This record gives sequence, structure tokens and C-alpha cells, in this order.
Amino acid sequence: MIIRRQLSRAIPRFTIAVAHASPSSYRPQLPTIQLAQPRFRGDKKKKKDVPSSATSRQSDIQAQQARTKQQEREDRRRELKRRTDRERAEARKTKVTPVLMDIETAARYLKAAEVGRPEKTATITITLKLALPLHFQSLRGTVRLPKLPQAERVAVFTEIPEIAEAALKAGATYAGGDELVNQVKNGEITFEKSFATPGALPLLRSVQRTLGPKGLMPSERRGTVADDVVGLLETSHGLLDLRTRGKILTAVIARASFTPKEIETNVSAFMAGFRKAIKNSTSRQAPLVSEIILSSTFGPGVMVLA
Amino acid sequence: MPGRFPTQIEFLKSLSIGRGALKLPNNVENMTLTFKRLNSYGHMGARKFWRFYLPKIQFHNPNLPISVIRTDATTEAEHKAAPSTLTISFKDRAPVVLNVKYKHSDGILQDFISATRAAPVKDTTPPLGKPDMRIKLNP
Repeated sequence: MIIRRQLSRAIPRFTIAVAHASPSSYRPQLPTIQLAQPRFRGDKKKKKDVPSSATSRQSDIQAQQARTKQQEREDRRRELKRRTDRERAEARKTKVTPVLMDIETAARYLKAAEVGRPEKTATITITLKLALPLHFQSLRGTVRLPKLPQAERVAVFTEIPEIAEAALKAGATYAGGDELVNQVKNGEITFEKSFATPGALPLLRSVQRTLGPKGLMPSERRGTVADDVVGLLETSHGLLDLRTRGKILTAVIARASFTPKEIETNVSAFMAGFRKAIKNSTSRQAPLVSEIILSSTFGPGVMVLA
Repeated sequence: MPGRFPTQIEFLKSLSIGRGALKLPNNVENMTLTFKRLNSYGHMGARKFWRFYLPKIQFHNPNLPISVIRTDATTEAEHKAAPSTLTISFKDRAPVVLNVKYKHSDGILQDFISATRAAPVKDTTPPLGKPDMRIKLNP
């Protein structure tokens, strides 16, 4: 090595390699001198083929970055699992709380807080805080409340006038084809539920962006598209959709003008629907309830037993 | 006591106990309070009666329909002429209309008690559940 270094210092353009002869060889041991490859300007392709020290360093950095990213991902996953486990363990524990009441008392407090408020705005909402299992998608289901908190407006999209007439008779607020789609496009009408016949689906493509985000776009997957749209309307009218958003399931279940007894029956129907949705879900582990809160527009949110 | 609970307990107490915690007799059907949105010309007492006492009356009589109507006035004459009344309907007799214009909220409460023969609620502890109640939501 010493010889090589000295030589390379003396003649920087050449590299010298010593060919070691095998013991069986009779040839004399002679140092062979190799000329360095001549370099040409703009000969970049050749440079790429031979891994230089700069490119190898770059690939090292890239590999290091990939390792760090993987590590970070792993850390995040582990942290999520730890948090989920902690939340679920917490939900299973017996809670100690200074304010907890039955639904009837809670309803009395909320009614008192809403006294004299306009009936339209004074609503009572139930919120379930859930401890979900890891990688839980969402919980979906439907509930039929004994007393609906608000009159539900239903739109039926169909290209056949006879079906539209029948739908209006069966309780739909709006029914029609092209004109109805135009009204939706112009923002003239609003509704809480929508159904469609398969023939009307091409008409709805123009309002897909308006209805889609609100969850009002009829689709076969959701079961809101059928030839017998009137039958569908009769079975699903007055159903409340349950859907978890994040770790929370919330729904308006009553008005402040309801009596405490009515509020109580609605809450128990809601809880029954929630338990049924858990039973029907395909998830291996069920979500746990960490808190049940009954609240109103201007009132407090009180923890209840349900 | 942790976090949100002290404030919440205070709020719940303000809705249920104190002056105005009255149990009405069964013959009271409904009540309506009417006043102007602006306080001027004697409408402040009715507004304060709504804020202070109506929640407590509603809490102890949960099935009683109570409505509040707030009117609007534009001209000076309209402001002066706008009525401020408390109407109490009974099942067995004619409704009583109390004129609450230029009256203090405490005075309105006195008039209300004498008109309905309401009895103050004796139990003054708010039903918040047992202190530090233990619950298990996931059996």
C-alpha cells in the first residue's frame, strides 16, 4: 500500500497494480503498469456506468432516508396501537363521575335550558364517544325512532311520471326527472333523503358533486336505487342513519318541545339500533362506549346512563 | 373534582334551584310570555323573568308547554304601544292575562305565583346523581 500511495503521488494519472504470480508459475514477477482511462469532455454516459464515489454516497443517503421513513412508520403504528389499547382499557374500567343522571332528568335539564327558544333551533342531540379497535373502518346502521325530531323531506328521482305521482302519494316531498335535477342544480330545493329508479341515474350525474358530499346521492350499494321506488320509500321513510365519524357517533334525536318520556323512548330506540349495528358489523372487535352525552343547542352536555 | 364538572354543576343548579323553583297545580295548561326584542318602554322585566325564572319553572313542570314570543317594533309609537304580557291558560277556567309592562322580574314572579297558586319546591338539592357515582358502560 505504501508503495502504491507513493507511486500514485508521483504519477497521479496512472494506477499501478502488482500482479502476484502463482507459485507454480515460472514467469518472473514483474509490476504491470495500467494506463488510466482517458477522459473526454461531455462523455457523461460512461461516467454513469462506472459507480463513482459521489453516486454511491447518494444511494447511501437514499437508503438511509428509506430506513428512517420505515422506522417512523413503525413508530407511528406502535404509538397508535398503544393509544388504542389504553383507550379501550380505560373504557372497560368503572368510571367515577360527579355528574351522571338518568335520561329523564337529563331531558328535564335540557328542556329547562331551551325554554323560550325557537322550536326549529332547539334540538336535543345524543353523542357516543367510542373506543374503537385498531384500523376500525366505520359503523353503519339505521334506527327507526318512535317520534321523528323533524319532518323529513324526501326527493324521488324518476323519469317515469306515473312512478313520480305514486311516490308523491306515498309521502315523498319532491318527485320528478329533469326538472327536479335542474332545481337541485340551482339550489332551489333541499331535502334529507333521496331515492331513484335505475333509469334516472344518468340524469343525476350532473348533480353528483352537489349531492355526493351530503350523502344524498342515490346508489345501488346503499340500497336507495330500485325499480320499486315506492316500496323502498315506504320501508325506509323515517329511518335515522347511524354512521360513526372518527371516534364519535352523534345524531339529533329529539326537539326541546318533546316531553321527557318521548325523549327517553327515542334514546332507548337509538341505543338499541346502535347495539344492533355493532352486532351486524364485520369487525372482529366491537367498539366500546366510553361516554354517552345528551346535549342541546343552548344547554349543557350531560353524561347519562342509557 | 376534575375539569368540566364544577362549571357544569353550577349551570345545572342555576337551571333547577333557587327562586322560581315552583311546582304548578295540574290545572295549568300552558303559558305564553310576550315582550319586545328591545328593552325600552318597560320590556326588560319580562326578558329577565324569562332568563331567570322560566328555566326553573320548566324544570319542575317538564310537561308544561311554555312559549316565548318576542315582537319587533320600528317606530317610536310602535315601541310605546307594544304589549308585554304573561298569559296563563287553565284547563278548568278562563285564561289569565297579566300585564307585565314596567314591572321588575321579581314582581312578575309574585304575580305569577298568586295567579296560579304555585307552590315552591321544598327539595333544593339538584338531582345530579350520587356524588362520585361509579358506572360501567361496557359490561
